[in-house]
Amino acid sequence: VGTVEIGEPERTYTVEPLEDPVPRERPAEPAERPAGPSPAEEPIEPERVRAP
Amino acid sequence: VSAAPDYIEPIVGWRTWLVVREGEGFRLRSVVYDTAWFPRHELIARCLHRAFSLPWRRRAGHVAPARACGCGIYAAREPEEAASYLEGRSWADALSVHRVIGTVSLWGRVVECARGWRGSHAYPKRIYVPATRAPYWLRAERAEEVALALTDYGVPVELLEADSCGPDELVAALDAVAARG
Repeated sequence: VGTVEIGEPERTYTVEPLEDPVPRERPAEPAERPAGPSPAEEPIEPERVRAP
Repeated sequence: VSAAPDYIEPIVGWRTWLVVREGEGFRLRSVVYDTAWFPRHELIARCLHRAFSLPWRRRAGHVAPARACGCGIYAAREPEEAASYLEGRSWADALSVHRVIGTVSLWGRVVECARGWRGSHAYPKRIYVPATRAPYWLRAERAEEVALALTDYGVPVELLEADSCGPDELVAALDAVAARG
């Protein structure tokens, strides 16, 4: 089979859609975390040491 | 500074695609050339005439589509033109499980012709899966299974009820869908 018969060319133009015609994959949403600092961010209590 | 575009909406035309099994899923491929249409990625045209020419007859490459060449991604203005590709043999009959028809968005550089367009960028807009059995030479899969798998493309997919898989019957079925709105 050959290419579809669409006839002779008449004009050439540029098309730049405002919206993307491709439904692209959305990046995965990050999992929700509970409010508050993560363990790595929690303040560390200073260690009590005996004075010399 | 780039020139302003002539249009800000894609051109919408009609195409027929082969459906080919790939791994666990199904993919669209072009009927005439060995070209895969990947879900959620536009197809970008390149001129294949140079690749298929004899070495001593090759001309310099050019941006596709060129007005003076036949290159580019084709879309027909009327579904009848595209539907003629629902029958007839293709390079990939051994791989195909079905043929589907639908609308396609074209954008980028577009050559408008008397009965259709050739574009530089394309993506399916809506896919119609004939619910009738595929032509006898294809390894037919259930149309419902094909339709479900093609939803990977992220565009509307519809089963097209028709009395047979002939182009005339399917175009009549498309008319009925359009009349329903």
